[in-house]
Amino acid sequence: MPKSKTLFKTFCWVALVISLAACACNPAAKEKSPVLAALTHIDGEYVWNKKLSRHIYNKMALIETIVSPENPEKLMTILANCIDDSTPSRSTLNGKHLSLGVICYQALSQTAYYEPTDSTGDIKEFWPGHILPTANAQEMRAAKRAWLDVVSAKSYILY
Amino acid sequence: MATIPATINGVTVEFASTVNNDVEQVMIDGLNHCIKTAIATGHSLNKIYISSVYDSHTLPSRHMQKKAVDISRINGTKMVIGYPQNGAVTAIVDAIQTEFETFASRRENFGPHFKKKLGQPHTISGHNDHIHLSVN
Repeated sequence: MPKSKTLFKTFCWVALVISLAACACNPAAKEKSPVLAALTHIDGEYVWNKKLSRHIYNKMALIETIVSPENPEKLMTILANCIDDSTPSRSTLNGKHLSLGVICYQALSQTAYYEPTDSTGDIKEFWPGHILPTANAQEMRAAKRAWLDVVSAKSYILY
Repeated sequence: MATIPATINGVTVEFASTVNNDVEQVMIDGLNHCIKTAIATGHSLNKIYISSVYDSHTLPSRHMQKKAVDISRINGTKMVIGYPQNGAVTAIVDAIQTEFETFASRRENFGPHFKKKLGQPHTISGHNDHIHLSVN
């Protein structure tokens, strides 16, 4: 009897460790803030605009209703931290589902902007915090780093 | 130093709460040049929202030289939402940027319509969501 009790205890510990490890490895299993959960579920689409030569998101107004009640400071932190989140969202570009990070960046860029400057005081030509919905994982990570710096310095400007 | 007035050529000027409204006179001259109620044919410009002037930036930014202004809303609509979906916002933004190009002391003219520096097309990332105007 004591032997079976020990075996059961061991089994429980192993199951707990496996569950925790699975949770840590799977971003989808992590609990998301209500804002991120709402952004994940938007049925949006990036549509090519010929005149502007760029993709335009067709659910910007819906994003506004999701993010506008939030405290801007808290919201900026949540969105900047989410930029490299690879969890699939329901939004698409050319029929392909986009990562939640792309939608977080969309929401962030509807909330605030940042103007990097060069040594003369003019606007810098390139800043890694500006990305397209077609950005790859490396670009998303670089954008996250750039925005986290901006958020930490509170140097963003709200629209 | 000068301050941007609350009304320019009949257009109401609203400022973000973070704005330090202190600029060189030449920047005000630039705004007087391109902010007008009838700037876009068939549309009336009633209000602009200035999101940054002499604030929210660090030296040597033109903002901190008191030579730059950011406009982020037209008639109460955020440019990031209204351009290009809202016809009036789009026409007014296009007209403001086009008119500023005829101002002699213009330097940077970046916005959703085009990006120009010293009168020449200029490649920069961002600025599809607000107008950044600066002067020499």
